[in-house]
Amino acid sequence: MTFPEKINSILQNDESLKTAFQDAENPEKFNIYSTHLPDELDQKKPALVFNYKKTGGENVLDFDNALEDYNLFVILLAPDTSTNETNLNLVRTLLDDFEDEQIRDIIHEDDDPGSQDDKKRYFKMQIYKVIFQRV
Amino acid sequence: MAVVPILAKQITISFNGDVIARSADYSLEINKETIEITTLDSQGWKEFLVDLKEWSVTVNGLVTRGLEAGKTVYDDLLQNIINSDVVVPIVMVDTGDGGTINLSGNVYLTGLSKSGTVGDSVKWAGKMQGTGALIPA
Repeated sequence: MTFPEKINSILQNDESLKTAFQDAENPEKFNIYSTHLPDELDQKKPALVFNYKKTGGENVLDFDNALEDYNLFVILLAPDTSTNETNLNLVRTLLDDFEDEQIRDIIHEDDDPGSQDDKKRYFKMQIYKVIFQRV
Repeated sequence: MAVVPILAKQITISFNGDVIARSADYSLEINKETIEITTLDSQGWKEFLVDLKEWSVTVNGLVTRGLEAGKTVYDDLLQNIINSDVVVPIVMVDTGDGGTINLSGNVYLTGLSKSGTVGDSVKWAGKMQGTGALIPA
């Protein structure tokens, strides 16, 4: 699996995140998005959007991209800060100790809170460093 | 054939018959010593004669788990430096098209270090002292 496929799979399929971001009016839909939010997103509903950027890695003589380093950006949005904090704990619980054959390490590096006054919502951006191994 | 720069990954280094796995960089140093023979007749210039040559190799890589057929890993180097005082062959091969820079000789593994930092991979660095001739082929 590539890194985008892997991180998509982790964040989109986690049951606790699906419960937190399930659309009450449309239970088949979960407000977890990669790259960007949809324009039609109801601003009163909590949402999670994530993106990533490759920052480096280890290239060796006998194997390209032996390890890949990524910055993973996870942005939580909600109409109030306590919902964001609750969802933050869910994301931290999922990612802080996540490890498998491909995700070799995830390290929480930074937190950046803020608000979008025009949309009357709060956001919390988390930055993780991820060490990824292609298999 | 036109002159083409070689990429580092086109060089493979074999230690004791097996390619060193996950090596990240290497250097080969060859030195030729000289003996000064300056005399009053040297007309103000120092003069030298060539004496002995020596060579050494340093290799860095990633510490790994697991085995791969035909590959030398950190654990093999560790066993060599702790348990063996026997000289081993080393071969550096240019695998690029038309490559001709293949070097071989015998070495002692004289230094091995390992280091790691949280959030990063564990790396090793090895020093090998050449003994006898370094032979280009």
